[in-house]
Amino acid sequence: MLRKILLPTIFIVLGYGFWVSPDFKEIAAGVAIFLFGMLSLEEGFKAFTGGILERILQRTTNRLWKSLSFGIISTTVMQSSSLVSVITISFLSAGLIGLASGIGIIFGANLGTTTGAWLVAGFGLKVKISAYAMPMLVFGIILVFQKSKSLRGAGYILAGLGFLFLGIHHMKEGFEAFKDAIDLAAYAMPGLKGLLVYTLLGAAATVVMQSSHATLVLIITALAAQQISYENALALAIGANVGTTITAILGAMSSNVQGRRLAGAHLIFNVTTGLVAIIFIQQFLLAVNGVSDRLGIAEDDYTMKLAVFHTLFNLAGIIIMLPFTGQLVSLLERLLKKRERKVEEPLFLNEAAMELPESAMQAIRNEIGHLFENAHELIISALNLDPQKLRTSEDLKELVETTPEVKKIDIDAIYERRIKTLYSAIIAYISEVQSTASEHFGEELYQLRQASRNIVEAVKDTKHLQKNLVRYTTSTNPQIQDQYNNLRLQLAVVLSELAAAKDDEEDETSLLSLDSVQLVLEESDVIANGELDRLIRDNAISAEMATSLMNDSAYAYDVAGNLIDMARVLFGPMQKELRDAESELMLSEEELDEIISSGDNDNHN
Amino acid sequence: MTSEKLIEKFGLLLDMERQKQIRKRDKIRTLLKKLKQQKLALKDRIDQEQNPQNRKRLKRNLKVIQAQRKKGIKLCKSIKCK
Repeated sequence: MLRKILLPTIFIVLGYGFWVSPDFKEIAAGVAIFLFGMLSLEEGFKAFTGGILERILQRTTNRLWKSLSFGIISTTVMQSSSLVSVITISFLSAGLIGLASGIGIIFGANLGTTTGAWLVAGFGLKVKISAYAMPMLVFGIILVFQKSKSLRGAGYILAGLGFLFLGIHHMKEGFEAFKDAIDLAAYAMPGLKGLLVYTLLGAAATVVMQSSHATLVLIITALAAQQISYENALALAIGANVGTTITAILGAMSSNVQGRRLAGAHLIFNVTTGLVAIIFIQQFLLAVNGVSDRLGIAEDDYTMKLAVFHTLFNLAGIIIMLPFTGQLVSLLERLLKKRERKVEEPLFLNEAAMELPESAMQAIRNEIGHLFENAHELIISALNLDPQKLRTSEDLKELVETTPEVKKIDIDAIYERRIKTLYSAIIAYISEVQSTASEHFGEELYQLRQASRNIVEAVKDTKHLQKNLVRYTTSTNPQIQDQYNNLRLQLAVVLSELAAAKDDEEDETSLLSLDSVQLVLEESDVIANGELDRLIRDNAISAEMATSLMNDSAYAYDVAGNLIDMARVLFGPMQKELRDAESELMLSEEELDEIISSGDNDNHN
Repeated sequence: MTSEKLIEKFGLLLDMERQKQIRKRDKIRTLLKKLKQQKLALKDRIDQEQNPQNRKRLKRNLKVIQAQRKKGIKLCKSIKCK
């Protein structure tokens, strides 16, 4: 309802303003140009995502101080805390970074964004920046039409800066002319009342413009033209800081619980910081004067003093909140819990992760990992093994022997509940990513689709296998019982190795270790190793048992083979070049056969 | 450095395909080093292992690593010669 009213109201108010005052029109146009510049700047930096930015983000967020520094530096360079927030939420949603790292980045971004006020107050108002804007726009737009992605990105950045400068120029000019017609300073409110009213005004303006940067520039230009008092400008800056959380909250609406927790942290940080600034406003004013004196800022240079204030109160917020990051994480995890579901739902696939191709790819990988965990558990249960013991057991043979009888479980029901929904969601998400991502990701997306299919095939083969596993592990014929327990052992080895490979992401040779697993598989084939023939020849098993064993051995082989094929795509190092190098060293079927035959020779010798 | 060598070096810098191969060779070298460490560790374990079943399994793993190393060394040499 509110949304429906908001837009027409804004249009009416602006329309009336334009009709009454041409100077107001210039200020509004300045804000519009400035916001357009911000969009262009974000578009430009997005052209450089998909590589360097993500690599830096992943490598520099393993410690809280590193996350904080990343937030400060990236926001200072890009002059957009919104872009940093969006990237952070998409990475968090995709599981690439943790909540504590995300919080560190957001805290840092709050401080980094204050550099904007310094630039505008120190440079934008003192130099005729419109003179720089024109060539920037010309060169920028020429570059925007280039084919190269980097040149296009550079063009957007240059044009974005040009628009920012032009916007500031128009706001400055507008306020200068406006003061001759209407003196807004007459509406100044002193004291606590003014502090609270202007804080709310600042927050409301930022919610409407969805950019604290734009609000702050507007405040600085109005302050420079003496249209607002210094005291009220400080309150507006506090309000802008609180209002900016709306961008993060809107961004988090389409993300998973982690994204919502991050938006919660942003809100808590900015509201706390705002409250601290309001309560201790006098102490902050003293501190601003002290710092300004030291920096040589003139007594009456209120725009620069506003920049000092903006930085100081954000810094104070970080100093207050940073030691409690751990507690903040626990609080948010308690407040925003994952929903308990009867049917398994995707954990990582969400719109926020789709913002960047890299985070979308990682979200798919993580979700297939989630699918694998469910399938892994299902297959272990179908083999009547304990998942915990399987992970820790030194002797898998003993583990299989201690639980010799397989009990029937309803695989169809578990499949519907824990596999099908995830599989469908992964396939739908891949299709959506494929339609937006560049061709560069086509091959990888195909492999990921195949990997999730491998998991589902493995589950289906397990279902076929289960029937005779239940039947023959309780058979009175010890020979067939042994053979079916061998099948269980063979799968237990594969499942245990795959779980280890999944857990050990740091191991650079985890893909290569899959060759050993494949070898176990090849060696245990009862048809190839002559075991089945021997059993038939010795009349140890009936013909009916032999055909069942033959079929089930093929099912077991397929379960393991499908899971190994999936692991080749999903596990192993993140770095593509290292993955490719590992693939080159992996052994072919012929090379594995050679090892098997050399092993046979060893046994004969 | 002679001018020919300088030109050769400059040409190498511009040859993206060659650069890619060199990076690949470096990665393979990293893997070979890692595999060598694993090979030595496995040999030690085989010497100490008493259980014949486990010994057989470890020997099999050793063979896999040896075959992978052989493949890697061959690949490394072929990239170097190009």
